[in-house]
Amino acid sequence: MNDIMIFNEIISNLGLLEIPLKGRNFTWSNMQSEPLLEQIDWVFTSINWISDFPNTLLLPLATSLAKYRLALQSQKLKSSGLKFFW
Amino acid sequence: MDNIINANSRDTSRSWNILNWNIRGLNSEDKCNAIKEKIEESACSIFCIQETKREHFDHSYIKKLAPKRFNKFAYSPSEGASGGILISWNSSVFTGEVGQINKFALTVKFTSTHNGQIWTLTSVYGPCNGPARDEFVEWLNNLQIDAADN
Repeated sequence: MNDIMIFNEIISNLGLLEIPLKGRNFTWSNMQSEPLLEQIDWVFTSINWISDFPNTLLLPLATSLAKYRLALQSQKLKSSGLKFFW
Repeated sequence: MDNIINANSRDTSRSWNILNWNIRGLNSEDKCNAIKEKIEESACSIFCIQETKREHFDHSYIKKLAPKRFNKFAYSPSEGASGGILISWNSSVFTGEVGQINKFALTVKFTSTHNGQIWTLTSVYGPCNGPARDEFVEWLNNLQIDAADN
C-alpha cells in the first residue's frame, strides 16, 4: 500500500472528516519558476463538529494567494495527484 | 502555509477564526512580524504554529509575536531544530485546558466564554522523512479519539 492510502485509511478509521480548502488546491510551493504545488496541510474534524458548526470554512489568506497566483500562471502540469505530506 | 478556519456556530451565529501556519522556524524578527500581521489580518481568536524550531516559549516571547489579547499559550518544544508546535489564544473568547503534548501533537480543550460550548483542538506536525516519519505514522495509527469529543 502506498503512503497516501495508509494515511487516508488511518484518517477514515479515526472517523475524521476533511474540511476542504476553499479557493486553492495547494498549501505549499517550492517557489521555483515552474513551481511544484502540493497540498501538505490538512484540517480534519468530527461529525459532532460538523453538526455544531455546519458553516466551518477553511480559507487561504489573501496576501499569499496573490503571491501564489503569480506562481500558478507559470505552472506546468507537473503534479496532477496528491502527494503524501510528510 | 497560512490558513484560516472560520467556524460559524448554528445556534449563536457567532463566528470566530483560527489561524494556522507552518512557519518553518520562528528564528527571525521578520517571521515574528509576519505572524503579527497575519493575526491581525485573520482577526483570529486562536493561532497555531507548526515547526516553531524553538525549545522554549514564555510570555515575553508571545508578546513579541502576537497582540496583547493573546494572553494564554501552550507549546510542544522542538527537538533541536526540528518540529515544535505553539497554540495561543485570547482568554476572553475561550478558556483553554491543555491536554496531550508530544512531539507530533498539541491538544487544547477550549470552552467558549460566550456560551460554554466545549471543543478540542489538536495541532499536528508530521515530520517528512527519516525515522521520525515512521514514528509519526505509528503514533497516528495508534491514535484514539473520543467519539463524544468535538
